[in-house]
Amino acid sequence: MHSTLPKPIGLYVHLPFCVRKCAYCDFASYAGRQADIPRYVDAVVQEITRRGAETGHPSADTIFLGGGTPSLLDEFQITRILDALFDAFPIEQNAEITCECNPGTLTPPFAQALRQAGVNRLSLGAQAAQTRLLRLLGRIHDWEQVIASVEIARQAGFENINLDLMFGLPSQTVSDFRETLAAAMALCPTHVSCYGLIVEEGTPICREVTAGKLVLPNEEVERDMYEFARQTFAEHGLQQYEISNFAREGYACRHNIGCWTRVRYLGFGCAAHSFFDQCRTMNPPQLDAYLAGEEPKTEQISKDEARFESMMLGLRMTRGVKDEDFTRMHGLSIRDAFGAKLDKPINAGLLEWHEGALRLTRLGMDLQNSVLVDLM
Amino acid sequence: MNHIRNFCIIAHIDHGKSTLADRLIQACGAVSQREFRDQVLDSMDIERERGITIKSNSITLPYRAPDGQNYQLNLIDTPGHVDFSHEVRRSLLACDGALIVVDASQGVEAQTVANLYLALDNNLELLPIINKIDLPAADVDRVLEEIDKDLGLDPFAAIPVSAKTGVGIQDVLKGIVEKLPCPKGDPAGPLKALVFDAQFDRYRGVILLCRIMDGTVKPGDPIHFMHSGWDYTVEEVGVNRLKFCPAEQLSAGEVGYIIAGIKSVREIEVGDTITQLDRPAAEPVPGYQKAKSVVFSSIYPINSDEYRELAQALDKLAINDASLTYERDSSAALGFGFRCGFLGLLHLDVVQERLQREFDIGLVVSAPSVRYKVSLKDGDVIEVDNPGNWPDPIKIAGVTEPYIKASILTPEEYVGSVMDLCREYRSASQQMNYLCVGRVEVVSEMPLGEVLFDFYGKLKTVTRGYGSFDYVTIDYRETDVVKVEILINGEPVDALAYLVHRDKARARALHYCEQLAEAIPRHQFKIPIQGVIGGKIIARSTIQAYRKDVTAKCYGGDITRKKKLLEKQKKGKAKMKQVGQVQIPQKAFISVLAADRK
Ligand SMILES: Nc1nc2c(ncn2[C@@H]2O[C@H](COP(=O)(O)OP(=O)(O)O)[C@@H](O)[C@H]2O)c(=O)[nH]1
Ligand code: SF4
Repeated sequence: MHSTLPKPIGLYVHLPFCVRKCAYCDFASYAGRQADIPRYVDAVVQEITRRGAETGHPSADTIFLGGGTPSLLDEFQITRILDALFDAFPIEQNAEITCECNPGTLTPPFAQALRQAGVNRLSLGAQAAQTRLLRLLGRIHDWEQVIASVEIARQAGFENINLDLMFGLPSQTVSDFRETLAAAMALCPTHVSCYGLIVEEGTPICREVTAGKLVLPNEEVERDMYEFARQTFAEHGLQQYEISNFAREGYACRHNIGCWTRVRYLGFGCAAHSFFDQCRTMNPPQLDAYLAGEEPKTEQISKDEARFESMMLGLRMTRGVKDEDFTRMHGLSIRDAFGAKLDKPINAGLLEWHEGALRLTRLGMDLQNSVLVDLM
Repeated sequence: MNHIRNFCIIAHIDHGKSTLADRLIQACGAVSQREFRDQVLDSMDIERERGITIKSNSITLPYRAPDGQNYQLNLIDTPGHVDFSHEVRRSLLACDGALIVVDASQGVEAQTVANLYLALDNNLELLPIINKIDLPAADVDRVLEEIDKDLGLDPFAAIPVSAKTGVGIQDVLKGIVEKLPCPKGDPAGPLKALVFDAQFDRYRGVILLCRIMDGTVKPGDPIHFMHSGWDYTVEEVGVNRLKFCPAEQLSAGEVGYIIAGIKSVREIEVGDTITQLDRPAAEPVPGYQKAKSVVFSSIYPINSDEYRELAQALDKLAINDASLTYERDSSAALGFGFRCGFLGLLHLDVVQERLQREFDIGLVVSAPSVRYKVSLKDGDVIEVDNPGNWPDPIKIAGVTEPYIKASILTPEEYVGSVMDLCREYRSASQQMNYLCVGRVEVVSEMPLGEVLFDFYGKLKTVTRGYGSFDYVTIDYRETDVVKVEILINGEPVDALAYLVHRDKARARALHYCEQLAEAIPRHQFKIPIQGVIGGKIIARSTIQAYRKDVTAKCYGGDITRKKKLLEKQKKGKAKMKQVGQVQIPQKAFISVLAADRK
């Protein structure tokens, strides 16, 4: 019998403030609530301290400050939060500490403050190189500011920089997207997250699309863009390691990989999620509810659900789900857990075994949801 | 018996039959003002809404003539639609006379003439009524001329009325008593009673509406049905004054009801003759004919779990609708359902609507079909109304299909389009009769199977709503029918197969393929949809494989949300019908078949 030390956990802080609400955004984020930032920081710091004590101060090796727009906080506020995290949880020496920033809000002092507080990875919401598309998305910046933000980050000493890019946008052409990719590659990021637009119900963009005022590229074009992105990134040494994520050797985002491999994490702030003690917990999604101290919702994960989660999350990664890891986590092999349900997607050429892991084929990567539905 | 009159009202649709009936009922004081509502004789919601009478009915009106004599007037209401002409015939058997209503502004119409012949066949005495004389467009002189020329009736006997204002109603009542004959029959003879309708009452069982031809009947009498052979004991007799009013007995010449512990209208047949068990009549009332279904279609519940509900609902409808036939049917694609027979398209519509409305069952109805007569090479002749039973073409020597004689009335300016439409529907012949200035009757013999496919709707379109349509089935004629199968991803889908004339096969197959390609969501693979005759592809379309079914972003740490989305996707999938590898949403079946008839 060999015992394994519990893996260090991940920490997430949600900072739900934005200058303006983007047209496609259905995240917990608020425009025009900056006045509440001080109260919010107090509440988050309190939560961090309390949870640290409740969970027995487990050590952590990734931190992610997400949003919203964390760069809307000032240097003191962001530093206070990071300090609280360091106080409540032992942070590993080589921990990956990321902060999301939006171009147009990142200033040199803020970048320097992040560096000093220990942040070593910056993620920039670049999205698209065309001002026309950025306006249509409701973004506040233009590409000049993306270039400027990368410059500010490098000046402050950040070497690990991610750019978020989007495709499948209304009226976006393949050549628009080529231009965006070229502009992004010129900035030499270590990491790229490249997302197809999801038109979420209830968003302004959804209403416009439904009303026929905005027209999305068709499925064929959208997939062509995706394929083109994959090739471009590969040519620039950015290896795909997940459906939407690409990184230089050694720069894959450890925080996200933790999430996809069901490593435990604690989230703080409104709408933040935690996964701890086989429970998934969600803090109140509304800013006011969170500030009012409303209780989080907790859901115990059954064994069956846990197995399914391993697939749902693990199959997002190109390396797939290692049978060995799965067996260690669940006490039975992938075949024993899913049996004949694996046949259909394997026969359809969507799933394959490769070096002891089950992974999506290239085709499967486009059709992940159907594979998962077959496994349910 | 001298004081009884049994009569019906014959009219073209909208000429005012119901209104006149309402007026007569009111004039006789048969119903209190409080109980009265328009179209009192139409008891079903659908009848009221569509302004059509589907079932026969009768009402007994007490009438005190100006000379002080008391009469019993029995008004027998007959259905007013071609689908139910069989019921019309039965009702006419119960009458001795008829009022022929003609709209003073429209004049004599096709249906008036058709029903007039029916009435004459039944030796009814006829009394022409010119209605709607209050209308500014009324042209009484012209109508009088038509009554003379087109109907061959005595124009001097015609009574001008306005059913709306009540003008002339007393003249009608007087006319009924004076011009229409009293019933004949022998009250002392053996019982002979004609059943002209049957209604179902939840508490009392089946209520038979009868005309007593000879003899008498009273509670306690053992009775015998001469066609079906069933025996019952009479529990109650009486007359219908909108309420059922018990009487001591019914005797020759009277119209009334009999209750005899019958549980379902299935057990009896309308048109049957009741006689006394221990003193039977020598022979039944002549003219008995079984109701014949002419249109057939399979009905499946949208939700397969509702099969039992559908079965129960059909049973309930059938209790009161003896002409609806149904038997269990099953489709590989749609599961269990029923193969139903209808008197016509309106009947099909009415049944379908009542199932959805009164029983709240979502339905898929397969393409309606007529009954073909197929002569096989081995000399057998079989009847086929279900594509599933179509024989192997190499065994078929010949096929005949039912033809109708359609009478279409249209304003003159649309005659050309109407003729074109008829040709499009494989009309064998068209003939024109100029009825009066501006109005033309187009008489066309055409296959009933064609008319099923929205002939009526198209007629309304080409005549801007002014065309009317009526038909009688005439005979069976040679035809060249093929069975078209629809293959989805190479698998035949039984519920989508149909029988059609060879010349029309391709166009309809294309329509099916296109509709299905639109209604079936993309799959992981390309799906060919084909229309096939005996293995030969005559139409095709393709559903491209989808290229994307992936959520780009995993919503931060929100695993629960993603799981919920997948569960929803899974549930949506479970709601579809699996045919081979393909998931077909129910709406695909509906869109194909619905659009087909529109
Ligand atoms: N002006 C006028 N309209 C009438 C008269 N009788 C019936 N109608 C109208 O004609 C239409 C058809 O009448 P209805 O009794 O339903 O005809 P049915 O289809 O033969 O039963 C209705 O709108 C009636 O109100 C009448 O004497 N004068
Ligand atoms: S910046 Fe991000 S979080 Fe803020 S509104 Fe736009 S998409 Fe939403």
